Order: sequence, then C-alpha cells, then structure tokens
Amino acid sequence: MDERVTDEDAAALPAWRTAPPTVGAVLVTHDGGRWLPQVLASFSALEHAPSSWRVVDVSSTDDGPDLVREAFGPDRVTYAPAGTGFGAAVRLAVEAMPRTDWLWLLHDDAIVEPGALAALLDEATAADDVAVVGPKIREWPSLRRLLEVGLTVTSTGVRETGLETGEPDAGQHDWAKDVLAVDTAGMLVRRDVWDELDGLSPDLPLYFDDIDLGWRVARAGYRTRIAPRAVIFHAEASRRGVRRRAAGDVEPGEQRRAALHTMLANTSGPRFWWQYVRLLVGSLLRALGLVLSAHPEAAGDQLQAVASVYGRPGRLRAARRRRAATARRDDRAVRHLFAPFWLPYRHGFDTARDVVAALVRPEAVETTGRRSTLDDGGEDDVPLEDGPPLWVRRPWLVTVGALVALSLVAGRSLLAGAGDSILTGGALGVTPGSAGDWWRLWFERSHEIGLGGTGLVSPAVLLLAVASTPVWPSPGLVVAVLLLLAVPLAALTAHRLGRRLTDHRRLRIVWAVGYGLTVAASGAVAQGRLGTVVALVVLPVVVVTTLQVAGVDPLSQRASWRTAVRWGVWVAVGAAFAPVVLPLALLGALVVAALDPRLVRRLLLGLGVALLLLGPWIVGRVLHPGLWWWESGSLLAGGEPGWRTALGLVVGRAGAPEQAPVWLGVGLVVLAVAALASRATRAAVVVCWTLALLGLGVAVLGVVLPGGVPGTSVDVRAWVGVPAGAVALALGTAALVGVPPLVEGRGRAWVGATVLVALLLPVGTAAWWVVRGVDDPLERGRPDTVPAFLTDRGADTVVVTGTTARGLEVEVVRGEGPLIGAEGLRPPESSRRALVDAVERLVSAPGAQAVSSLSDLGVDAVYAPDVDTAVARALDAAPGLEPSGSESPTSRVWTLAEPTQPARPEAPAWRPFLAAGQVLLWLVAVVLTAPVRRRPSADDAPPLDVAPGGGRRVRTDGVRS
Amino acid sequence: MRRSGLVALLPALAALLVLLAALVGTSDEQAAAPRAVPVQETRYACAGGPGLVTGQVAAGRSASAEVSPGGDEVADVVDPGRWVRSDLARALGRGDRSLLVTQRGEGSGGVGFVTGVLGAARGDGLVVGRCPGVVDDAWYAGLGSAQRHLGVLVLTNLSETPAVLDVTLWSPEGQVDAVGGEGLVVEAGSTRTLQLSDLAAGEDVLGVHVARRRGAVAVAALDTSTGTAQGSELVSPMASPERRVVLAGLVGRGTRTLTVLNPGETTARARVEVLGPDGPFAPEGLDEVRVRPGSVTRVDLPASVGTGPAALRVVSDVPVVASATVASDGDLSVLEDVGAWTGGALVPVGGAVGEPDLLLTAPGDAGRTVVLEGRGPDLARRDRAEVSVPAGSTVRVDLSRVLDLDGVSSVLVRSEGGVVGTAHYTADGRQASLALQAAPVDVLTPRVRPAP
Repeated sequence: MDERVTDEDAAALPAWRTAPPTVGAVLVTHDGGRWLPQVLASFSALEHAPSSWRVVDVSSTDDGPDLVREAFGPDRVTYAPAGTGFGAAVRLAVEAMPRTDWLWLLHDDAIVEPGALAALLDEATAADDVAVVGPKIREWPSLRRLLEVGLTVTSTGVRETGLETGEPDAGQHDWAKDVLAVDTAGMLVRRDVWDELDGLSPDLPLYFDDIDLGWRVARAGYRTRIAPRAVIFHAEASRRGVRRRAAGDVEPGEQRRAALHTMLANTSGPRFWWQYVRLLVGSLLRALGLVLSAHPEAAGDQLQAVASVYGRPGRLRAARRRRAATARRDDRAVRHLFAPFWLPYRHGFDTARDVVAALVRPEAVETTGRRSTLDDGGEDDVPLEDGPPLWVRRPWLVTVGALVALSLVAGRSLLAGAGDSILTGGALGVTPGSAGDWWRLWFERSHEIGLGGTGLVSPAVLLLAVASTPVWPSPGLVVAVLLLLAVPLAALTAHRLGRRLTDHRRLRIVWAVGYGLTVAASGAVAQGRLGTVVALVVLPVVVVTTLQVAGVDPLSQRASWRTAVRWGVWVAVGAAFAPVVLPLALLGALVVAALDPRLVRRLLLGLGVALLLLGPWIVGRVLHPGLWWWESGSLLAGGEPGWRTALGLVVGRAGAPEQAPVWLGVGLVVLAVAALASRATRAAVVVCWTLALLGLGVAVLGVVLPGGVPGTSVDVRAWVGVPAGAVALALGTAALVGVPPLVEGRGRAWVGATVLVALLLPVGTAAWWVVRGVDDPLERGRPDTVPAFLTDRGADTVVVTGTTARGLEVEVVRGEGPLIGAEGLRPPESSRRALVDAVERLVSAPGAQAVSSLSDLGVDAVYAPDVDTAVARALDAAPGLEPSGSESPTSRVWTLAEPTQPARPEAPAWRPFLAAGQVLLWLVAVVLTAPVRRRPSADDAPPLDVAPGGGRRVRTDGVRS
Repeated sequence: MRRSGLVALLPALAALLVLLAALVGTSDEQAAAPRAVPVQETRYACAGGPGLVTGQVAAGRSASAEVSPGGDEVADVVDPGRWVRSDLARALGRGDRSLLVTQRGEGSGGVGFVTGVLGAARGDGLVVGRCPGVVDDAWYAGLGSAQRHLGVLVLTNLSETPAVLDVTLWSPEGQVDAVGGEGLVVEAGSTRTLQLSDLAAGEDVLGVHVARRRGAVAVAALDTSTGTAQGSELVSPMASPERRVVLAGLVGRGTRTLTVLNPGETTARARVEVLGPDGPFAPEGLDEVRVRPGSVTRVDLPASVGTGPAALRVVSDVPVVASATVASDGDLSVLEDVGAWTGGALVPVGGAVGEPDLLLTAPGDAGRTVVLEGRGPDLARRDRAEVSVPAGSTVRVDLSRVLDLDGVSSVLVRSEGGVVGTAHYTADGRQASLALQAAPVDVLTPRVRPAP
C-alpha cells in the first residue's frame, strides 16, 4: 500500500479537481491566542480552501475568541463550555455546519501549508475505502523536525510515531501509506464514515481520540492514509504543557487513562484478557519505577488512570459494545498497522541511554533517542546544520567516550574468560551467581560463611543487590562496570563537582580526568578494592551535596532540609562501601559548620540520616575504630611504611605495590601550592587546603597507628586509599580554583608552563594506566582460596597459612569464600576460639581429640596453600585426617574422615524485618531527596520564533502567555 | 604579610604530616615465636623387646593399649595413674606386631619403655629403649645390613590412613641404591618390620635416614650383632644432621667405634673431643675424621679416649650424624645424640633392667644442676637429690648412692637444659644405654591465631 510520492504524481492533475468534494473545516480553539495569529494567517494562504468553516471555542479566556471572530465572523463561531473535549467540540461544529463530503479537523496551535488540503484530497479520493487522511506534521517552531507521519500504538499503550527524536524532514518518509491513525490536527475524515462510527469517542476528550478513531476505522473495513505532501506545523501545546491551563481542562493524568481505555476498548478476542492483566501489572510497575525515579506526579497519574479504567468496568464494557457494533474485521486483520512487539523494549533501551546521556549532559545539552510521546522535547530551536567537530562541540562527551575506550584497553586482560569466570583476586570477594544471592545475604538470619555467622552485613550489600537486580543472572556485570570503568565513573562525578567550581570548560575536564585517573593510579582497581573505588566515585558527589547544604551551589536550588538528607544519603552510600568516608565527611561538615554555624542543624540532620541508613552495622565500626579502615572486600594490608607510602598520600596513593609512580603527582602539588598565592581566590583555596590537611591527617593516622581486627591478634596495616584520594581531590580543587587567576594576563610562557604541569598528572597517569593495565592481582577466573574439589564439596575448609616460627593463621572458608559484601562477617567468637584451640592441638600433638574438635565445628577439610613442613607433618600424623590431592607442589589438603554437620547459629527472628526496615528507609530517603521532575508548565514556555513557509520569520514577543 | 605567613603554614603542615607518616609508619611484620602448650595426648608404639614399662610424669585421665595390627585391646599394661611393668612379648604374640599405647591427660607426660634381654638370634643383648611416637625424621649412623650385624626398623602406623616413608641408606662407598626404600607404605593400623638387608645386603656399617612423607608412623631401630661382638641395642635416632654432635654415655672398656654419616655434598672434616670427668680434651689420633660426601665412616676410638665416664663431642664443618658403639664381651651399647632436654626425663628402674648409672654431661660453657627424684609405682616421690655437672665434663651418678631406691620404679631427672645424658644399664654382663629425653609434658607449638 505504500506509494512513493514523486514529482510526476504531484504534477498530475487529480480527478477530484474537476468536481471538488465539499470539505467542512472545523477549528477548535482553547486559549490559543498565542498561536492563532500564525494559524489563521496560514488558513488564508490555502491553495484549495474548504467549502465551509466552523470554529468552536472552548471557554477561552485569552484573545483567541476575538481573533477567530475577526477572521471568520461571529456567526461561524460556536462557544462550548469549559471541559468540553475535542471530540465533543467537533461534534458541536458538525451539528452546526452544512453537511459536506469530508470533515477537516484543525487545531489552534497548528499551521497549515498552503497546499495541505489539496494534497489531503489527492490521497482521500485515490480509493473508495480511504476514510481518513492525515498530513505530515512537523514541529513548530523548529519547522524542520518531523513530529508525525502517521500514528500507531504499542502493546503497552504508548503512542508511537516511528520517528527518531529531532529527526529532520528530508523527505525520507514521503510515502503515502496506510497507517493505524493520524493526528486530529489536520485530519481529513469522510463524513459518512464519521457518522457511521459516531465520530471521536466522547470517552476520550483530549488524548488518544485519534488512535481510537483510526482503530475503529480500520476494524470497520476502511483505510487511514498518510498524505506526506500535505504538511502542517504543530506546536503540540497541550502535550508539551505549554497551553495555559484553565478550570475544567483535562487533567494531565488523563493521557494514561486514555491510553488504557483505548487499548482495552478496542482489543478484541482472547487477546483482550492478556492485555487486561498485562496493562494492569505494567501500569503498577511503571508507577513504582516513576516513584523511584522521582516522578511522583507521573506516578500518581498512572495510579489514577488504573483506578479510573479498572474501577469502572461498566464504562469499559459499554465502549467495547459500541466498537463491536461497527467492527467488520477482527484484530488480526489490522495487526500489521500496529507497532512491532519489540518496540517497548527498544524504548527501555532508549531510556537507559538517556540516563547515560544525562550524566554527560553538562557539556552536551542535546539528547537523542527514539521519539515517542513519553519524550518531553524542549522548544529550543537547535540548528541542525553541520557545525564544528564533535570534540569541539561536546568535549566532555568525547572525553568520557575516550576514557571508556581507554578503560577497556587497560582492562583488556579482564574482559573475557571462561564461561563461569568472574573478576577475582586481591581484596575482591566472590561475585554471587545471581542478584538473588545478595538479596538473600541481606535478609538471611544465618550467613553461609565458614563456621556460620549471624553478623550484620554492610548496606553495601543492599546497594549491590539493587544495582544488580536489572541484570539478575549476571551480577558480575555490576562489579565489572564499577571496577573496569572506575576512571570514567570517577571523572563523571568529579566533573559534576567541577561545574560548580569553575566556568573554564577545558580546565575542569582536565581536572575531572585527573581525579578519575587517581582511582586507577592508587592501585585500588588492580587490587580489587571495590570499596575504595565506589567511595572515590562517590566522594565528589558528597562534596557537591555539601555545597548544596551550604547553599553555595550555583547550579542547585535553594538549600533546604531536603539537601541535608541528600547529603546524608550520599555519605551513607560512600560509608557503606568504605566506612572511613563517614569521618571524612564529618570533618568536611565541621569545616562547613565553622564557616557558617547556621548550618549545624542541617548537617546534624544529614549525619543522622547517614547513620540511620547505615543502620546497626555501623555501630560495630564505631566500637572498633580499627575497623574504620576495613572497606568492602577482604582485609588486604595497606602500603609498606616508608617514604613511598608517605609521599604518595598527597597525590592519592596509599602505598599499594600496584600504584602509579608518585612523581606523576608532582604537578598537582606544585599547582596546589601555587594556588595559595592567588589573592582573588585565597579564601576558597584555603578551605580546600584545610580539607586536604584533614584528609591527610586521617590518612596519616591510618599509617602510623597499628591496625587490627577485634578478636584477632593480627595487626594489619591500614589501607588509606580513600583519605588519600580525598587529599588529591582537595588539592586538585585548590589548583582548579586558584591557579587560573594567577596565570590570567600573564605571558604565554606562564600559561604554557602551567598547562604542562597540569597535564603531567592526567597524561602521565593515563599512559601508565593503559600500559600497565588494571590486572594483577585482579584477574578473571575462579577464586582459588581453596582448591576446586573442596569448593565443590561446599563444606567448611580450614585454611592454614604461616609458618611454625612466625605463627599460623587460620580461617574457615565455605565454598569459594565469602561473597562480595560478606567479607567482613565473622563467625561467633566461641567458634573462632574453638577453631584456634583445635588447630593448635592439631599441630602440636596431633590426636583424635583435636580432629574431633574440628569435626564438631563442621570442618570438612584442612588446606595449607603454602605449607610449612613441620605443620604438614603434624597434620599428617593426625588420626582421622586423610591426605588428599592438592593443586600445587607446595600446598597440602587433608579431609576429615568423619565430618559432621553441626547446627549453625541463627540471628533472632526479627533480623529480616530489620533488614526490610532498612530497605524501606533507603527507599524513602532516595525518593525524598532525588531531584523531582515536574510537568512543564506554560510559565516555562519560551517565546515563539517561527518561520512558516520556509522563509517568513514572525516574532511574537508580544504574545501573552 | 602575616596572612601570607599563615597561608604558608598549610603546605608546611602537610609536609610535617608526610614526615610523620614516613618515620612513624607501622609494620604488620610480627614474629610470633612458638610457645609451649601442655600435651593432651601421647601415642606411642612399643616393639622390639620382651618387657614393657609404661608410666607418666603425672597422673593422666585415661590410658589404653591395643595391638597393631588388629586393634585388640590389651589390659593391665598401662594405667594413667601408675607405673606398670608387663610382658610385652606375651601381649604381642608372634609376627610383626606393636603395642599402641594412648595416654590422655593434660601435661601428664606419658612414656613407655621396651626392656629385657633378646634371644640369641637377635644378639642376646640387654635392651632398654623408649617407645617412639610419631617420627618426622630419624637419622641413624652405625646400623648394618650384614649377616652378623643387622639393623631392623620396626615401622608402626599410628593412624587410620596409610603412611608413606622414604628410607635412604649410605655405606662407606656412598649412597646405596636401596630398591623399595622410597615410598615405603605402612598400611593403616599395621606394623611392618624392615630388615635393612632387604634394602641393601652385606653392609657392615650403614647410615640410615627414615623420612615420614605421609601419615603417622613410629620408627624403632634395633641394632643386633651376632658376630664376635655380640649384642643388641634399641637405638634412638637423631632428628637431623648437626655440626656439633654430643654422644653421651661412654663408659667401660671394649671395642669402641665412632660412626659418622655425612649426607651432604661436601667432605666433612670432623674433630672429636672427649668430655671426661675432668673436662674436655682432644684424644690423640682423632684430630680429623674425614667423611666423604654421601658416605658413612667408622673409626675406632683410640685408648687415649679413656674408659670414661665421658661423652664424645664431634665437631664438623658440615652437618653430620654420629653414633658410638661400645662392644664388650657380652653385649653392645650404642651412644646417640638426642639433644639436651628441658623438663623431666623418666628412667625406668628395677625389675629386669636393674638400677642404671646416669652419665650426665654439660657440653656447654656453664655447669648445670640436675634434680633426681625417685618415684614409686604410684608416681609419688620417694626421694630427691641434686647433682651438679661441671661445664664441659661428664659425671657418673650411681643412683643407688644418691637416692634411696627402695620401692622406686622410676627416676625423674629434671633439667633446665644444657645437659645431655644416658642411663647406662648393666645386667649379667650385658649392657644397654638409654638416651635421656624429656617426657612429653609440653610441646612447642606454633602460635595459632584467627586470620583477620
């Protein structure tokens, strides 16, 4: 049915011209005075004018009625009361005007091209079964973007145009074709069919009336065609919310109700029941998603729509009866007119892409994506012609893309592996098999760890569970993204902070990239320190929210309790992965409070929220300050003491063997010190330096104090990667704020030297990062905490390390080891003591009793990965321990001849409820503090700047809004 | 100006903090030396002699004995609260068998001794040897695999899993290619008697190393001689080759030889000193004993060594294993180095073995004092005496002179270290020596701690 419109077609004289059919034009206006001058002007330029005109004004309060009276005369204007829907208005007009062959429906915010009606009639008279014809609709005021070339609807009830957002009209859709429906703006409909189908449905006063009519037309055996040579320009005032609302207007939530009503009233056969359930569940899920994504109004609309449609089955039944009366074909016969089944999923993908695009929005205002009525396009008249290269127009977008590409290169050895391989090694725990394992870990009363445990897990588990739920069977994706894309992620958050600090676009890009690279340069990624990575990504956001709390964020709304709660949420996110974020944030808050004591109450509120979200888990950390340093992950010692570690602290390194050379950060220090010389920005620079000193103080504290874990006599050097990263962030910020005023106005040599010093960190570190990669000890494979055959047994294995001379360390591992997030869980103290006692007896005077003690603890095997000969011999001599195969020459395995399965400790029954309560708290906190998106209002609408006809530009600055 | 000075303070403070971190940084390198813990359970295997003496330093909780193989329990051979003498031969019957004794109690120090006179086929000599527990490494010098000088290893598996051993032999010509010596399996709960002639026949003198590779196995070595120098001896092993070896207990006349095993890869040059009653001296003719790498050498002890009491100190430039044999008319005794002991060493007294003399040597630079306690069958102390051992000297202690041995079943010899010693038994012209070793009251164990 598709026919290409050619010049020859256009040149041929259609038959109708000899005996033109009569056309009655119906213009419905409602507070459209803003657009009517141009709309009415376009009517007067029509090459083929309608036979008769009728205007229905629906309770306009602007100058619209005057304009139409002036244009058509008072006798051609009908006045409808407030609340009259579009269909009802048209019905009033049809009743008041002489009968014509065709009806042409017009909006007060749509300009018609001079040849529009003629082109519509060309298509309308081409075949006897054509009942409805619609024009090609372009955007007003851009005039070049396509809005619609026919309509259809997806199975989820979303109006679908099949066009890309912002797609310019270059004739690519100029095919006359059958479609399900056309917009009522410019719709030409056969009068007899109109009468047969009883016009637009009175149940659909504003939205989806066109889809509904087209659907009924199709089922009645007629066709709806698109006439691409007929062009109108539509401002879509109601959909965009730019039409001033008045009493009696259709509520915004009506759109979703109309969608549900249309879908359920028109779907026939058994498919109806499927749609009935699907749309109900889908709408509820959508409402939940909207709540979570801080669209409370839209969520309310969803629920209201569901209540309206599903709560009034009688109205739905009546509507279905009416449609059945006129239907001559079943749904299957018109199925080809509907959107393909996969389109909703494509929209989901587009949404995800939009989220990513939003992250880089600071430097890239335009968005892309498939156009649907869910899109809220702006009214900016963005030029479509080719401009400068992309890296000039959107340097940040290009930078992020480059960082992502470099991240993949740096992580080359970690991208692929055997089927069941995961990222493992270093401090990284075991990635669970599915997101469900993290949810289970969060809610369970007895943890699946060696010897069993009932401890509280970090809220990091909850956050990981939430993040991995969309990729349920592959939670490793979340871990891989966080670790492998750590640099671009940190750069993104730093850049958000940078926007608040300076207007120098390129400077802040260099600064953000430098900070992002600090994460990799610290060695945190290579060591699998997920906690550090997440904390360093979150740190700039904490600073941003601190600025918001202080009311000094130039890009944010006024400070309120909401910003304080938001600060608490982000502090909690960081502290959940790295508890040391909490004291760091506290110190930062103290500085802010010292600068403005009025903020104390607000900061206390934020702190309270953070503690509430972190829950009772944080109490354990508070009681044992040594645990402040233990982040999400296995306890891996920090850097060796000495100059290398100490000097690295000021440039974001913490002494990891895998860190970048410290000298790469010299430029950062030089610039930060130089920034102090700037008088203009001294106050801000001093604040940055104060924060850096506080961070450095925390880091130094970690280095000089012996670290340790309660319940063990083992001291572990603290890992101070997070405070070191905070120092680098603060010093970098000092340089960002303080250096530009210093070099402004100076010679090129100064600027050049400064640029060179500034680029040393990002360029040098990037080169080091890409060459070294981010593996080792991080690798892709399966965890090798215990040999694979022991893992398969799924039982508890005692892992013995150390030597006789220096002492032995023992731990009990279940399966492959603790899940990510469960590394901090410990078995009950009594079990640990019993274990130590049993192993001590086993290696001193091996006897049946010692083995039996192990068995009583539920231990199934003993594994010594790098065994001391004396220990191995002692264990060999133990009755009841059977030597088993090992995976390396230096390792030994013994299995217990008679393992037992003792009862595991269980937390109180209220523990899952506590976990659920915390989930609820997080939910409430996030929903309350997320930036709320509201519907655009007429007050937000920019003035029109239109150029209908391709050349005439009309300024309408004086239009009342 | 003042404000600029304050600003300059900020980098200075940062530098100070960095300096602090560099100089005061902590380390988690912590050595945790092994510590002594009370032994809760001792398990040893007794074989190689007709008699058995079992006992402990302090009363234990429980004790039991079973025959290996088979696991048949044997009553009345062990009591956790008493010193018991019994007939081991009758308990074991014929065949390759051992008696497995398990004694439980916190730091009770359970021990067992094989005693008695062996039959003519096994040298017709007096033996007194301690029942061995699980052995990691056992080094012997001076055993043989010849028809008239034969060493026998009694290997007893103490656990329920198979044990694997490596037996390495050295002759004066070098290492012996002993077929079957590597990966020797002793099945779970069984006893295996291994004649060294099965591995390497015809060697009059051998160095032997038994290494436990897997499992829990006890090794007892019986040295028998049926030639001109007749006799038998249960030999205690050295735990490892040493540069200084002290062989205590040299006493009496007879054919006296020193055997030195050099398992290393360079020639050992050893000199021998005699630690006599008056202090150390270098006997003539033993200025330098050369032992080729991977070989064993036997040298006769010259008369200049004297008749004792004395100890031989072998000082070598590479680690060696050494033993000395004293063959008199009716029997032989073997002197071994089992090291100085700390704590209490038990010496069986009375019965068939009679009352031994103690030969105590303080090989170091300081004199030592040992305490002797005569104890009855009920483990109660009956008498007590102190003996001083001058530095570098050997003293002979006639127990019957320093203690009232009436009703005494054992003598506990307490030392705080620095003393090596031997109990020298004589009966009917036969002799045996028992190297003094601490009863297993406590044991050094590595520090065990939960991983962080």
